[in-house]
Amino acid sequence: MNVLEVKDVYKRLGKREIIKGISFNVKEGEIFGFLGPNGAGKTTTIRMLVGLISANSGSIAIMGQDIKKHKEKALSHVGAVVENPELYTYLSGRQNLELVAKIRRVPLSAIDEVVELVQLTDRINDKVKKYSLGMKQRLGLAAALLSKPKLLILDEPTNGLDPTGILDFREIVRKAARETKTAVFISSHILSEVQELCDTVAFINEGVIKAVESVEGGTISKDSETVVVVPRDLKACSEVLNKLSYVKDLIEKDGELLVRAQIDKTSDMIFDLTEKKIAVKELYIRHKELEERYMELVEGGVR
Amino acid sequence: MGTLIGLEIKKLLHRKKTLITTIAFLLLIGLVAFGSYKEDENRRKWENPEFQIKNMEESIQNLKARQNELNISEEEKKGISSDIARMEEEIKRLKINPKSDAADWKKQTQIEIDNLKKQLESPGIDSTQKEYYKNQIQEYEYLLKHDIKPERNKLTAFSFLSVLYEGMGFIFLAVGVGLFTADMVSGECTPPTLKLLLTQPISRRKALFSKFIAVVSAATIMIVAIELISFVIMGLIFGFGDFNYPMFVGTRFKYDMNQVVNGTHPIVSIAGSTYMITRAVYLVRMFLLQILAIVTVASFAFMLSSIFKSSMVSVSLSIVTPVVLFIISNIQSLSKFTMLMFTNHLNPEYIMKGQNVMRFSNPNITPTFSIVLLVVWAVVCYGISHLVFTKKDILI
Repeated sequence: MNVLEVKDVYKRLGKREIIKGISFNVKEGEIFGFLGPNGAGKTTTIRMLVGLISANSGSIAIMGQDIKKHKEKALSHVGAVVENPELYTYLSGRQNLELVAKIRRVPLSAIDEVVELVQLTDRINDKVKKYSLGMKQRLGLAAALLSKPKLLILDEPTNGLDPTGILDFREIVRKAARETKTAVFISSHILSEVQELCDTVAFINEGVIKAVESVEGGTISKDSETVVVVPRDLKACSEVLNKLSYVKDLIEKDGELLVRAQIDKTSDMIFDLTEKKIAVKELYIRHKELEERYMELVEGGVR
Repeated sequence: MGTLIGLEIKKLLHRKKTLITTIAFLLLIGLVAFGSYKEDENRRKWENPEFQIKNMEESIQNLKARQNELNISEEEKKGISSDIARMEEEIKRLKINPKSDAADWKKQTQIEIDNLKKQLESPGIDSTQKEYYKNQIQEYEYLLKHDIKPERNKLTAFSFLSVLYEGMGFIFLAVGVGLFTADMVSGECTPPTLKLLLTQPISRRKALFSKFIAVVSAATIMIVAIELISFVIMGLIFGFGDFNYPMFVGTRFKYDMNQVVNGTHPIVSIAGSTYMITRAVYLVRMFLLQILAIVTVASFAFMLSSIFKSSMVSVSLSIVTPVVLFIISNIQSLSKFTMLMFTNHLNPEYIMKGQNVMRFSNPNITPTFSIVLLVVWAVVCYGISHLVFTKKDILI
């Protein structure tokens, strides 16, 4: 079931067309990554999803409710952090959450639960003024999760989080997706982030979605992978490799060979090279598929 | 909706600005109270018979010295002599019975009524003066009938409030309430907490309206409560005065078509238009008009705060605009324009007593005119903020 449906959305700000017709769907329990460079239109898209700005054309529906026509109903299914988590700095963390709880008619008991989840229990009664950026991120996440939304929208959520915080954050998001079937929409420019967490990733640049691909086990599913071979004799090695059936092509670069080969053929490659007495210093699979894809789609090729 | 208003009030109460404005208001009240006390002290000194005798003896000596100067005419000398005689008479009276004035206020008031009646019948007075004398006579007769001693300028809780209004009519209402309101919306743009608020399942219309109701009620309660408390405190110290004391309001005006002064018809009061109300009623009306004034000033500042993203801009404009309007109100040639500005209709006393008529030389500025004008300003300003706020893209 689609929690979020975006169809043919265009947005102009002033004379510039920021979003040029994007469409995508996010299903129940799916973690959807929205990947793109700065200025690609990620935040503009998010602002439209939560009704802060309105699209010039096209439609956005959350749980079947149009964001323009039934904004209140649509937003009742959404928990969101847009850009930085902006909370009332002159109120305490708890008072901020109480504010959201009262508006959304969530019982106040839910606050303790969610505070526990984001591990802010010790500092929840302090004024937000005194929070670090990471703590604000946690509080923002808590505010978004408070009403157990059907759709969780997060904009660059790991900004300011320390490594433990990032791990905790991933765990929280995965748990929400798994246990309550929450659909999660995460925008990011950090590739590893998306690779680790997301089921699906959409690449956006210059207001257009270049591709939507699914990520499995931390990689984009495809039939080839890149193997890096560092041989002693470059020429001899490339001659041997070129003759192998499962090697699609190879590039020489800084004394290394980047070999694009069929998936799961690394052992065969080692056997074949050993057989031909080719001395190899190093051989490994490059786990940078997403990055390559990103470069390909966004920057126009591998650098 | 109720929840939203409650939350907005809670936010307001947690802001430093609220505390600062309240303290400023308390300081203003303290200053006015102190000033009224000093003035009252002076008045009592002047009313003291010994002080009066001393003053008069000084004047007599000065006059005598003047009489002996060479370059004054016979006529002037005669005048001085009669002045001296009058003062000596008065001194004698005060020395024999220093308390007579205070004890026999009824006789004194009767004498004044008789004097006023004489003046009323003298030829050549215009209808403004006639109205004034009539009201005076009515006031004194009412006092005699109800056995209320004339207060003149005595300090009471009532006179304190009316001094406070005069001082506040413009300054505190326009600036204070403006300052208090002007960052209700724009203040949520830096830091952009408006994003948190507007991504909740509430319509912008409700978000805006709850902010408006919250700020208006907070400002009203703060001002009215502090005024009432200071009223009670002043009353306990200096006396409340009589709640049935007569007040004259509602005078209407017209152009006197029979006369021309400086090329235009002078404005005179319409005979019989003034009517009397008790001070208690007056006080209630004053508070109601003041609340209307608070609402109007708040809507104006609220409009600025929803138009501008920067609270610096909205706050400065909400202070500068009333000050500029107040200054240009003194330019006679602009009076047709400035009389329509809400800043000139904030003082409840001005409205009830029709003082704006003389300020803007326009007899059409009735209390009803002022009230309707304030309501129109409030509705238009809120309407503009509603249109702007519900339509705009939140890009903060």
